[in-house]
Amino acid sequence: MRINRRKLKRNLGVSTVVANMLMILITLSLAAILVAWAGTTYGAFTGGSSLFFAQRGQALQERFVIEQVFFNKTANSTMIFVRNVGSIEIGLVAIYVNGTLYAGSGFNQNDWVCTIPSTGEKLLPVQSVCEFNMTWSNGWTSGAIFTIVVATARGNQVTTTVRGP
Amino acid sequence: MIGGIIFLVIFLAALVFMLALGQQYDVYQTTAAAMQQRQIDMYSENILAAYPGITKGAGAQVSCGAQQCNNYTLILNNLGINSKIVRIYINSKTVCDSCVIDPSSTPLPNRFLALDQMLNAGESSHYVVFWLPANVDLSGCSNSSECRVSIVTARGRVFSFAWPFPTVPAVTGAVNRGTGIYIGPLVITFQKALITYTTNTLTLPPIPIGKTNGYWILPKTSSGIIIYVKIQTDINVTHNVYLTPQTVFEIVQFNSPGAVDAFFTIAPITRTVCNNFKNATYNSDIDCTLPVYTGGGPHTNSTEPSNIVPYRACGATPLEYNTTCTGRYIIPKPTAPNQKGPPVIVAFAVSKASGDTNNLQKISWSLVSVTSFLGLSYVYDNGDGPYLYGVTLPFISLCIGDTANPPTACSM
Repeated sequence: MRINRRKLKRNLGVSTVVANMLMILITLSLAAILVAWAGTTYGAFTGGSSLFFAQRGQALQERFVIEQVFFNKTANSTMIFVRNVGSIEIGLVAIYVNGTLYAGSGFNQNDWVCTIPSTGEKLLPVQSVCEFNMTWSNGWTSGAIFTIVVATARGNQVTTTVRGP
Repeated sequence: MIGGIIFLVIFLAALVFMLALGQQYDVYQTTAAAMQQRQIDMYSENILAAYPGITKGAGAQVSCGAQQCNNYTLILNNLGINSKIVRIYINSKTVCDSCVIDPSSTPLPNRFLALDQMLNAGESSHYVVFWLPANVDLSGCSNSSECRVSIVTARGRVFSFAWPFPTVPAVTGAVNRGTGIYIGPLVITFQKALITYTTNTLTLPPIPIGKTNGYWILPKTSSGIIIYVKIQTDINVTHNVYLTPQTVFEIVQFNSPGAVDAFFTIAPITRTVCNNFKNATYNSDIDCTLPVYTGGGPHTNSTEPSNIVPYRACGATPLEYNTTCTGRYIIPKPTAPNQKGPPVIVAFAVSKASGDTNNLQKISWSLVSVTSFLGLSYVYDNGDGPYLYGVTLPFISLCIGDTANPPTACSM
């Protein structure tokens, strides 16, 4: 009985060399995918962590104080003095008084008085001081307690509590 | 092998990522440590105002820019680390609504001298000169309308104090009695005018005695001398004190202890003489409204030893002494709490109790140093009823000068 060599030939597997080549190709492909994924992921992590630490570092360098609060009965106004005592420029974005936001048009504009714009921030360089002059439409009450919060763009806040004289 | 290489590559990539992360964290920690140290420095500051707090510059106003300014000096003690003052706030309802004082190298209104900004660690009595407009006068600050002064440092600390410094009310039993000689209800307050004298030729008492000589001095005199001592009641004394004629002033020589001259008290001086004392320097606190002695003698009791009115004895018991006996030396009790009573001028001149002009005590020594004693005999009610007390006070040292009146030389 003659064996069908062609069938035998068609039923034989790939040779060892080819198998090895295929394995190499497959491995390299997987490796390329893995490296690409790892690079993307690690890069994102690195970028994210770098940004995180940079932002936290900048926020950490912010130091500012409310050094004085004056009440003027005649002008129905309150003057708040804020000084930057940190090592980085700060951007003041809001002042709250007893939980109410006072910003932008809520302040009177004088030549030497700072204002916080409705959008954006008021930049305060290091060792600079700003006076914010708040005018009360109904006047301020003697003996009343005022909780004043000043906030910056980096998320830091300083709170002080004063009593109207 | 290829897998191993790939694994190694991934491992190294992770390692690089960890290193980068560690470096970023290290930078963050460095920043955190630096800010923490800044925070520590900030809270290590401690500035206090030193008495009297603020003083006004003597003299006229100073020129500051285009106007005149009042200049003041702020006195500070630094109990912490070195600090830098960047601003001073003064707030007062009446004087300075909102004075904001910034540093300046030259006198300008609402400025302080920039050179005074820095306080060294532990520095005391640091002066900060500042200028306010001429229409702002801090003398309007008072205990009832105080000025609040706030000092701002570069690290963000604010140190505040009220000025003038609030006075602490005196506590009963712990008052500041000043310097003097205290025994029982009476006190001789230490001052230049606690003693003086008159003679027949010097009828206006020199106050203080010694004048340009600079010390307590009595003249040698053969014609008599009247010596005056200021006596008052102590704080919280509840009743008047009545001197008896046994009250005496003695002088004893330093180098001859047995040599004693005793001067007993004479009748109280006239109101005219008292007013002369009152108008003299240091004696504005004398009470000349007390009753004047009119008990006897042909002469009025002026300042001349030749016109002595004796201080007559009164035989009443202590219980009746202040009601039965007239014309007594009254050392009155204080008229206000925590104050001594108004002082009284007590005169001494005679060599025996109740003596008169015939018993003038003379000083025969010259150019010697003497010590003195006060023998006080008085009726006093300390709350248990009136009683007769006798006390001896070591008094002052004096010099007996030459015969000149007033004396010009002394052995002291």
